[in-house]
Amino acid sequence: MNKDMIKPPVVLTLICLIVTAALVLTYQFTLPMIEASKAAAADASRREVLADATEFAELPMEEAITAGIGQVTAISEGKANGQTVGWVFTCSAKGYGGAVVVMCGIDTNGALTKVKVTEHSETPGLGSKVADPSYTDQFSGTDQAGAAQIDAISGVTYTSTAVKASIEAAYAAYEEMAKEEN
Amino acid sequence: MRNRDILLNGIIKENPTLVLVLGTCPTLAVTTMAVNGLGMGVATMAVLICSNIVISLLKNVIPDKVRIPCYIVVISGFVTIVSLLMEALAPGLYKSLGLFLSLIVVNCIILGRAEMFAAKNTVFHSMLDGIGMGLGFTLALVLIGSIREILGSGTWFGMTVMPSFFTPITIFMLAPGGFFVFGCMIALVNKLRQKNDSLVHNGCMNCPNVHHCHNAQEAQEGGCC
Amino acid sequence: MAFYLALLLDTILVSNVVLAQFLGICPFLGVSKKLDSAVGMGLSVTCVLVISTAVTWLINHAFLAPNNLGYLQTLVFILVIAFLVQLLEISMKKFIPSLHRALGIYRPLITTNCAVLGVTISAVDEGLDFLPSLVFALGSGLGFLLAMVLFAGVRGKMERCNIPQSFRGMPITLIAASIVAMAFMGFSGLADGIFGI
Repeated sequence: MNKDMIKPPVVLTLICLIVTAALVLTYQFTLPMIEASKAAAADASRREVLADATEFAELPMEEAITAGIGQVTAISEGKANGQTVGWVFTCSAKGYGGAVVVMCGIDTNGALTKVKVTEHSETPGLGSKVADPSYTDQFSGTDQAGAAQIDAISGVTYTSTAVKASIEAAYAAYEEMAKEEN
Repeated sequence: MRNRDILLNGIIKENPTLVLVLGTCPTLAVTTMAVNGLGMGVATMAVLICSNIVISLLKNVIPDKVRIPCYIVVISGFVTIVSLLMEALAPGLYKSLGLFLSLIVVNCIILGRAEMFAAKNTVFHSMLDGIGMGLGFTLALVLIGSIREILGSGTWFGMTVMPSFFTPITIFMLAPGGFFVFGCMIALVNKLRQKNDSLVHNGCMNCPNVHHCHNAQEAQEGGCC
Repeated sequence: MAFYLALLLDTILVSNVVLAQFLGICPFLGVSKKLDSAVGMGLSVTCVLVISTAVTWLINHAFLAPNNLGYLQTLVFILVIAFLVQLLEISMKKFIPSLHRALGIYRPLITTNCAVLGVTISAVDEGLDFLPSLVFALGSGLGFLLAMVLFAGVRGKMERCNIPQSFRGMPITLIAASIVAMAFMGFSGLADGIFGI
């Protein structure tokens, strides 16, 4: 009787402990690999939107900068040969199916180098069209006023607005930075 | 039972997805692309093989009263290990499977095989069963994923396979398309089984909860878990 | 207030757990044959969802997140859910035996219902605060209930149809589910449109 009362919880606890220990070991083992692959992925998309830069440094941000429905969550400065060539803004805005995350590269003249939609959960075949280079490439080389004039994809107004709001937010952050420098 | 029968049982005769209709959630959710189906299938197979082996090893240690919690702990341990490894080695796939990678824990194929097979058979046979069932699940997922990807976006494993005049039928990538393709696949399998005259309805009998389930007696077609 | 209403409407109709997110498909297909069992299952799941989301949210924010133990999430959450379902069963048996008799048969089906684990993990992953998490869980549960009840009606109609042999049972049920899911797609963007968020 007594043995029946004690054995089940003891075995369950032991199994829990062993499994947890195995998980801690796996976590310690995979952590450096996970961080390396995350950093590599972030670097690759930053390099894509700001091709001139060879190295990137994340700028400290106290809180997200918002402009309308868009917000900037991270900024990194891109440098080549020690000279600042531009900044990469990680922005997001609410689309049809959740947050649309957009990376914008802006050079020192205030022109967009490239826009890339990195994450979205929009309707495949409709909202997802905004991630196509055929749409985002239109922004390359334009400035704030030019980007605002690019037409939304027909039928995909909502998600197109989210992308544009992200670009607006990037420019808001860009101007704030310019103000601080002066 | 002969080793080959155990292995083939899971792939064809008792295919967990198309015959037993278990683990429907990941089957529908991740099969928008063939490659996601493959990733999900392989991840589930890895967890299934490992948990079958461990549970079969521990079958004399685990007391009957707490066996389900013990199985769940072992399974969720392996699920976390597999998802950590996937995050490290295949971050793209990890991202597209998302939540459903964690939900392998509650995939009834795994708990079902632990209860129905691993707890009663030798370690080697349990491993073979894990491989067979895992392969059956993977095959079904890749098949459904291929159909949905080809019709829904005109590509297969990311390569364009449809001629340029073909307009992708986007609905196949969305929720309704998932239900539709899965339903048609099961109907096809039913048709083939009728021809071979080996119609065995055992959906619910493979469910880990069959002993508690009032539904098992009436639900002939199975499918609850 | 508008935020909570929008969140509730969004989780019930737009991103319905079953028909848009593919969570809890198994009970959706298995227990939706009769209206009363569909209602019973839906209510049990709603109840367990809200309670377990409250508990797992607290555990995550008080214990897992501060200690950087996020990777133990799956293990801890499923244990908490299994424990809570058991606890709920015992307390219901003691205090509300009539409700226990009505809902008790669904208990074993709830622990392994992926909607419960899925919603608790989503609430944490999406970084919702405590109250929004509860509303999210409540909406998901009600969405599950709504899908079950609607589908029980659809299946009731199907009983009287002459269906080709190989489509009988599961295949035709899935195809009906496909049509119901298509109908629910019409709700997309609804919550934003009404509340202007």
